[in-house]
Amino acid sequence: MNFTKFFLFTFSVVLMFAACDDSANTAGEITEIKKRDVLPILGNRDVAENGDTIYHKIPDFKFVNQNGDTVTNADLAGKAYVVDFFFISCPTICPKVTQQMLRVHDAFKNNDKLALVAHTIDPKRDDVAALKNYADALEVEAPKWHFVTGEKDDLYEIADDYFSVAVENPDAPGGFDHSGRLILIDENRHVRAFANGTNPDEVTQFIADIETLLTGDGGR
Amino acid sequence: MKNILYTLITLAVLAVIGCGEPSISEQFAKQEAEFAEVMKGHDDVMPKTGQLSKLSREMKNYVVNTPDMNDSIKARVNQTIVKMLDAEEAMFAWMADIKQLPELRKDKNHKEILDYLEEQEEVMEKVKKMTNESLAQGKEVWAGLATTVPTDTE
Repeated sequence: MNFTKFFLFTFSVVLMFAACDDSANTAGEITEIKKRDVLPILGNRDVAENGDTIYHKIPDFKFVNQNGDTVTNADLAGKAYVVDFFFISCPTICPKVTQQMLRVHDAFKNNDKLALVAHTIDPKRDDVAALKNYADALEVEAPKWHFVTGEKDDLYEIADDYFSVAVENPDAPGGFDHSGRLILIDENRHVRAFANGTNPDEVTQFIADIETLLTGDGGR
Repeated sequence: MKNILYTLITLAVLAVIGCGEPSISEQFAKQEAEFAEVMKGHDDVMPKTGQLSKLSREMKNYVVNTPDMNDSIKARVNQTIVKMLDAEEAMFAWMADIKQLPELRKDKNHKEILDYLEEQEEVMEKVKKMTNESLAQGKEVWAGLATTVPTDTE
């Protein structure tokens, strides 16, 4: 083998491996995580008589979790929390969203400043016992992660409130109250961020946003 | 010569038997395609189920907050709410009952699984019909109410 043949052979092999290696493309597809200095307060706002801005605030609520314990906004005082809406028999969206909620759970498992609240939208079937089985299967516990049920209208009304800032498309595959959104609420009950819970890249950004809220001045 | 003939006949018979039954991977592919078709029907209807829930709540609130409502209108509104909630319940009941393929494969053969999925497509068609009809009626009734009393739901 003379030098020219050796060079061509080596060049071909290198080219072949370069063509097969899609890491460059893959890297390009990964969403860049934006480290925000501060998270905006989302939703409608009014101006008070004294000129102060009144931000959209999640109303009082009262539900029952997987242990049969009552959960109200008072139980989450001083904490931020992540909300989603699901139902156990959901065949399509919920399993994906729950996997992403698990990522959030695992990322902040040891951080007492964050809780998770998953609301069923099928209270007829998802009673306390069913929610308990569901939580046990995921190996998660209250008060870190509440799976709550309650009066159907109460659940749907608070869904409307959370989603009033987060749903762009009422024709989303899961329907208006079942869009797969994760919503971040701060300790003052303001909506600070949301993500499509079926999109892992969006949830990666969402986790970074939670970090921003919980640390430094991100929550100001 | 006879031996060769017997061997060829045996091979031909085996080939015919073998061709009659799709392989396991072909059966699974067919089942998955049919299941996807059922779920597509579900995904098409589910957004409307969400609309039923929202509209029925708005109508319930309207009835509660309008004590002097004409009795016949009130009856029509309540009948429509029931119809919408029945359609919503039909969808949730279907989702609670539908069996996933791994579960079906435990105790059903290929044909039984395909029959089951065909039945589910028919059930979903009925749910779709209930949903579309009740939602159309709900919108019509709601539009009639909205012309009499202004609301912030539009």
